[in-house]
Amino acid sequence: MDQALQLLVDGLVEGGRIALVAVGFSLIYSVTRTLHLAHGAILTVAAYLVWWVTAKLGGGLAGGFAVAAIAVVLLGVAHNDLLYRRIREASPGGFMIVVASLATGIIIQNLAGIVFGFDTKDVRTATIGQATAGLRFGPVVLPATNLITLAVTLAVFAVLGWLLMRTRTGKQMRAVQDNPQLARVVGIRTPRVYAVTFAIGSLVSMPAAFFIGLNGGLNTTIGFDAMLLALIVVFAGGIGSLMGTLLASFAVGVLQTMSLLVIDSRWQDTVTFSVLLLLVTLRPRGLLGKLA
Amino acid sequence: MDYLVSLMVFATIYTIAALSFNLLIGHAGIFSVAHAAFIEIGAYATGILTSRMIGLFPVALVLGAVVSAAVGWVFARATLRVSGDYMVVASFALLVIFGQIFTNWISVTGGGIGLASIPRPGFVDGALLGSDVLFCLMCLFIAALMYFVSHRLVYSPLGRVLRALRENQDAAASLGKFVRRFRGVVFAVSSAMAAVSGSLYAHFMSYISPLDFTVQLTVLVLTMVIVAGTGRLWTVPVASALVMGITDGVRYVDLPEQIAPGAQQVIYGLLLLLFAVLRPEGLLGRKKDEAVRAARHWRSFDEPPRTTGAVGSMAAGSLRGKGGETNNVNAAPKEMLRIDGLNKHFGGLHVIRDVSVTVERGKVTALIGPNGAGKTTLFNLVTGAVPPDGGVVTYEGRRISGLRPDQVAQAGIGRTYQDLKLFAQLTCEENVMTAFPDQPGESAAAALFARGRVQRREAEIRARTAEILAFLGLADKRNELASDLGYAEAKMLALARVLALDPQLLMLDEPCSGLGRAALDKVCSVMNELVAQGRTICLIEHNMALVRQVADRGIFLEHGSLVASGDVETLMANEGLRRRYLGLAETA
Repeated sequence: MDQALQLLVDGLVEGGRIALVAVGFSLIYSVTRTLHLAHGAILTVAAYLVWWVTAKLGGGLAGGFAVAAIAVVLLGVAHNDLLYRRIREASPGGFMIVVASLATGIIIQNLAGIVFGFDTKDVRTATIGQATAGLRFGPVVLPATNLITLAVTLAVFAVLGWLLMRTRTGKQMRAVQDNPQLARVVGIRTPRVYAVTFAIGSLVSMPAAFFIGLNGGLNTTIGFDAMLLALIVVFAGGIGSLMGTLLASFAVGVLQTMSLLVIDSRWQDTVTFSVLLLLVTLRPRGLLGKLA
Repeated sequence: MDYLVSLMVFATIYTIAALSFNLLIGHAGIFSVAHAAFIEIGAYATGILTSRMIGLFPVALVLGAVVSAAVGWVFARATLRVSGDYMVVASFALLVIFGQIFTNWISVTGGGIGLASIPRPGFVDGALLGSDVLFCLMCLFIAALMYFVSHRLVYSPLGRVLRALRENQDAAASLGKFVRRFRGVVFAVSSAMAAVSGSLYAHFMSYISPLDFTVQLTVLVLTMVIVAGTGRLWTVPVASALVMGITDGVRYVDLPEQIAPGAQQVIYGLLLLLFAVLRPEGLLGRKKDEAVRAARHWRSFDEPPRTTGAVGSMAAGSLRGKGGETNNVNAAPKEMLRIDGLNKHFGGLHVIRDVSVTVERGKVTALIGPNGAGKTTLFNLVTGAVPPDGGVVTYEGRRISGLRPDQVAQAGIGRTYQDLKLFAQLTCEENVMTAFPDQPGESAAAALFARGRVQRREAEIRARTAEILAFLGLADKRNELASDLGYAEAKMLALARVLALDPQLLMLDEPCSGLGRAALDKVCSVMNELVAQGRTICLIEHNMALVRQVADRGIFLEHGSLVASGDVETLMANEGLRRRYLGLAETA
């Protein structure tokens, strides 16, 4: 029982990490219909930058996150404005977008390896040290980093929810998501909305790779690997539904950890991805999706 | 020399991988990123067999291909309704699942450490045993065989259906093509070929690990396909060798230690990016000539056109008055299609409410009503494109509700679409030829092995296609791509395509809208001729003057309900209808 409780809490933290990667991807896909597969590699760059500024330049975590934030926004917007826009105009259908974003993803993550080294970095020791402060609720332990992961995840969703529902920019994004043609007709500048969406979508996911790196070390593929799971979680949760993305992320996180009660840990991912594949093929609309 | 031989081996292995991937993404238009998984299945299946169980490489090779084909077939059928970005996502999941299986099923696969000491196939006892040169020759032979298989399939009726599916799955189904079967076939063939390339890889390297078959392998093979140009064939070996040469050559450049591990990926990533942005059609640019070439390829087997069947009489047929009384339709019951209590909801919208109506044999029936009345939905319900929530549709006394669109089409109902749904990147001739029923060449086995039978039927179909195109005034357009046609010509081609099905009941969705006078007359005379042949037409039309001219009977729908049906003149005389809808149209 104690173990199950602990796994449940760990699952929620894992869900938070998934949700952070997923939320940016979800936002970008639902508003711009771009399968932005370079998202993962961009997050990898963010994690490297946080590590580099903190551990190598002594700029502190705040400095690291600031530099990473600038970098991901630039990379995200550059993808949209320099790459996807051209492809959307030249060849309709999403095929070439997928091809191009696979290409830039591979280029970016390997360039990151060339610049920062291909060895796995121990981010935890290099940035926050081995401090193990945290909370303890009876038998359940919640280390500070996990607590922060959860808090950041919930904060990101709350801020994004407020942004989409209350601000002018957010309303424009929802309008474009709903009907791009109509949005253009009523005078919404869709190119600007697209750029803003890529900026926000990249920014909200920025901390994700760092948190993942804290947990298991940092290397060139962590962003891409995390994105693979997040990608299918987004579709399983339902396109166009932030709540669907959040719930599906937590559900998958809990499934990941709770499955350890019955199966060997090495089959964790196989089970998770099989369940998600079934969900996506049997119910393409997703859990809470609006679109078929 | 050794280096050259190994380069050659890799070039052939990648050529096979690229050929198989191109079959899937280029010809069938199914973009799956799981290709590396199928290569992996082949590599492991044969590697395990030859290193632990049976020594015979050819047997293992075939078994590996069969296993991979089975997985591909199941995946294709499971993801039938999944397309576009969803397919990318689903195939990513499949790739991860297989990567995990091969990494973690340690007792069988060796796990993350990999599978080692896979034996080289022993050819003959003696000096040449397992030599690179002999292995290279075997690879060349198998690659040539795979190229031959691709060529046969791509330029066969099966290849044509695959390209039609790529262009428009719904339209292909409405022409009697069983989409799920074709999807399964192309996935199985592509996966089997991918497995062959994996087997060769495993037996050349003699060591494999899951790290050899990550998404990066899919991207590398994808680069070859994109450079070759999707949907092309002979450029594939060239592009594969080129891309392989460039990325492999990087290994021999003296790079600083820090750069080396990523250099290869950066290079083919850049190559892929450059092509995606600057030259998405591949090395040779637009592939219009390819479609024409495909048509020409079969033309060389032309026999002199024979005039056969009902369609043949069209060409000779003259413009006649409406009404099918002159034909021998009296023997059959008057009622051809019967709709009983049909209902359909879209979410909260009740789009078809309890509609019960019949379509009479040999007549032209116009389906009329304001926009949003549910006319096209009624077509979709009858033809099986959309399942009804309730009610029964009977055609010639046989219940057809619940059948798939292709079964409805095969039962004898042909339909056109308001937005035409032509196969844009196919020529006019191919558009029509695709639609013919009973094509033996649509089976992969027949396309490969029963060439004579396939060609005979193909010549027959080609001759009848020429007649149909001539009948609709498209004779000189037969080698033009459907996407290059003008609006009126495109509408004619949609008619030509459905006629190839030889349907007894034609359901035409706004065949006349937007046409000029000359084209309008043409469509009307075609419809008259079809009725004179004893066919039955049900059409959607907004122009009341035109309805009066061509239709015998009318069905009036409003808000999804049947308001009235019967003789056109009687309907027109109905004051209530006049005021509500018809009157408006008449003054317009």
